[in-house]
Amino acid sequence: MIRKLLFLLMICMLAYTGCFFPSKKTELANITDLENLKKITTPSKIYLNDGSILLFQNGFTVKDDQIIGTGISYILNNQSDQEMKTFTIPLENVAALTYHETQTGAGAIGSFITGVSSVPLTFFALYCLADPKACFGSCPTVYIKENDQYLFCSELFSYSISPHMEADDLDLLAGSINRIETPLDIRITNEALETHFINKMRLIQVTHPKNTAVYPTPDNQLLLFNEFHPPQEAQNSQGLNVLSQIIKDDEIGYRSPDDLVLKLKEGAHFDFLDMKVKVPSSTSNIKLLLKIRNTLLSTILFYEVVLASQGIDALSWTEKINTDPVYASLFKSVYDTFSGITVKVKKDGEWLTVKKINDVGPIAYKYVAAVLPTYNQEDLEVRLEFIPDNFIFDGIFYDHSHEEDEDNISVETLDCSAIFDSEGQEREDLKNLLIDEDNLYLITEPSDVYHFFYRLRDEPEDKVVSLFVRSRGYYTEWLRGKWLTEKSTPNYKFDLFDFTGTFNQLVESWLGSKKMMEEMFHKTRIPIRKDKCPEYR
Amino acid sequence: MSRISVIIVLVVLLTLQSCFIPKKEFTSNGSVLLSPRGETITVTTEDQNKWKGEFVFLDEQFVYLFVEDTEGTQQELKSIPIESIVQFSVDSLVNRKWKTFVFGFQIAPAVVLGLTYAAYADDIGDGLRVAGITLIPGVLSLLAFSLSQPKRPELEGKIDYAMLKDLLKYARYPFTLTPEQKEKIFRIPVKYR
Repeated sequence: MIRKLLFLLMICMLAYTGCFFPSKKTELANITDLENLKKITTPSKIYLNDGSILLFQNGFTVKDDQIIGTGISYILNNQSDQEMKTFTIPLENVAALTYHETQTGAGAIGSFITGVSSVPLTFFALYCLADPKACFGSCPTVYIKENDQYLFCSELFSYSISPHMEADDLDLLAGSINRIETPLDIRITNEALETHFINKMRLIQVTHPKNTAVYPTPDNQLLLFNEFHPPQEAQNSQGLNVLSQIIKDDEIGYRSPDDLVLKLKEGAHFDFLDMKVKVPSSTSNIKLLLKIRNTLLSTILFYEVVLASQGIDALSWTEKINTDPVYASLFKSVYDTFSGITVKVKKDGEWLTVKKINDVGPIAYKYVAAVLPTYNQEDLEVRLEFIPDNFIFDGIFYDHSHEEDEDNISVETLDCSAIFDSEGQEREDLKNLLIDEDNLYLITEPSDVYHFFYRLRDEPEDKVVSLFVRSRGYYTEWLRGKWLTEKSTPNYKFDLFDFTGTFNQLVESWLGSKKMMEEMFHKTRIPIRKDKCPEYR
Repeated sequence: MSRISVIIVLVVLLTLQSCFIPKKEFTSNGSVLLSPRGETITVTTEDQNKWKGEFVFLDEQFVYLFVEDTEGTQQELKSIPIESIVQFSVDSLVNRKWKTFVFGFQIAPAVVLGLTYAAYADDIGDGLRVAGITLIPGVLSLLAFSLSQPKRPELEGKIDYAMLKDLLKYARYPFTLTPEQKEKIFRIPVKYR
């Protein structure tokens, strides 16, 4: 994507540099000075004694006291037949003659600078205005400081929407790095209209061999990758070949077409990606790596279909999901049924479910890895099944190498050296809140910022480090005034057990607003507090 | 921003770039496109009336120009006594269109980038720094164009025929017309003016 954009920009810049802002220069010629056989190549106007004008765009030649040129003539009343003719005019019939030249001068330098900079500047100004997050770096929730810049790394517990849905999460913060500033500054922000309840947050330093990579699994384990092989074939549930979309890590991925989303109106329906993978003989397991992110389908489901459709009743629903463990677990089980990706492997002509990958959130692509059994097949068929348009698949790779992970990676949980709030105050009191899974929570409100400093262990020369954050928690959504005062869906009110109605409304809401939602989602953010975090050494 | 939006923005930018060269006045290779008409002039008289139109010709007493009426639908040949003229300028020689592009495509985007960053980072200082850096190409272009731009031919104050004769080359008829020729010019049908 980036390469294509740069290519387009280069074309535009080259097109602009070919343009300039010329001025005109007109000179009156002295007719008596015209030498015989002189050839004039500049555009010239010949004014004849009878008042007619000849326009010689390509100049003329003087021969035997005559001007010979090709052009258009205008008689005194400015009429012309507009016909290009060759004229031979005796000099004695010429009343005046003007040359017309183009003047650019040092303006060519200005043209060059304008050409090189105007398209990218205008393009980026529009792009950044439209999507500041994408332009100046994405936003929530976890950032790492590197070279005085906070780089967005990950979001935590995207779909833990009540205390009863509190869940563990393992996210990659930085992969395969040689050296990183220490103490490491990790910034946690709350940039949404939510209250975050962080129960546990620990930094994990994973040391592994160079030229390898480590990724988290859905059950929060770590998997080492030595090789990255693309599948041999990949097609979606309509039989379309989607291999080119999923074998490049280029953020142009596969997402389900709208006609598959429309099928949800008839009830639960899944899109899938079927892949063929060549596996060496005697390989019992392969490692699958997905680079994925959610679309805003689940967000629409939660905001529009679940909350906004209830109007004022959204208040009691929110209380119920937060206080009624039975209802919360029912909601979770229904949600789990239709969310995430079900990974299946074909054995003896039958698809067997081997793994479930949860939703990963819509903000940024995440890498998720999983071990799949091969059932001793050399031509393995793998299916990824999901609700249509709930995911974008940017990359799908597998590794069938045999190295044992335990022999090659070392995992250390790091203690936080210091915590600072946005006022620059050291908050020793917060350290205990995040060590273990317990009843102690760090609670953050919109615009809150905290800095966590960690001292990393030195890695051996032949190793690299990947950093992960292991977290646990949940969040509660703030109910918007508009949701409570007006029902967004006149003919629908959320009912957990009305699957058909819910899918119907989801399709209506999603297809009607996904473009606007996708644009708005990246524009809207809660500004964080003025951050006064001091230098910590 | 979707790929389609990106392509649309780039297409719009490319379309706008065709405005760089005034196509009525220059060929695509940049040489002057000849026209039988004279240059556009502005004449200000001592009673502060201002006339703008095509410079047609000049004699010892009058400057003649085709001026459009207020609706812009008719043209009339206006003769202005030379002794009443206090300012005379030839407007259409010097191309000032670079100003639109420098301000529109360099200065304004730099300011927008700075403001967007200031709003995003909630820090006016950072926004000013971004604007400052991105303004550099615009300022350099502005300097290059301003310094290289030719001076507009212009007369001011007490103006006489001898002074105006130097500017006759910009007229539709840059020579002394006979009374019969003048008469014919007065009768040029509107559609041929």
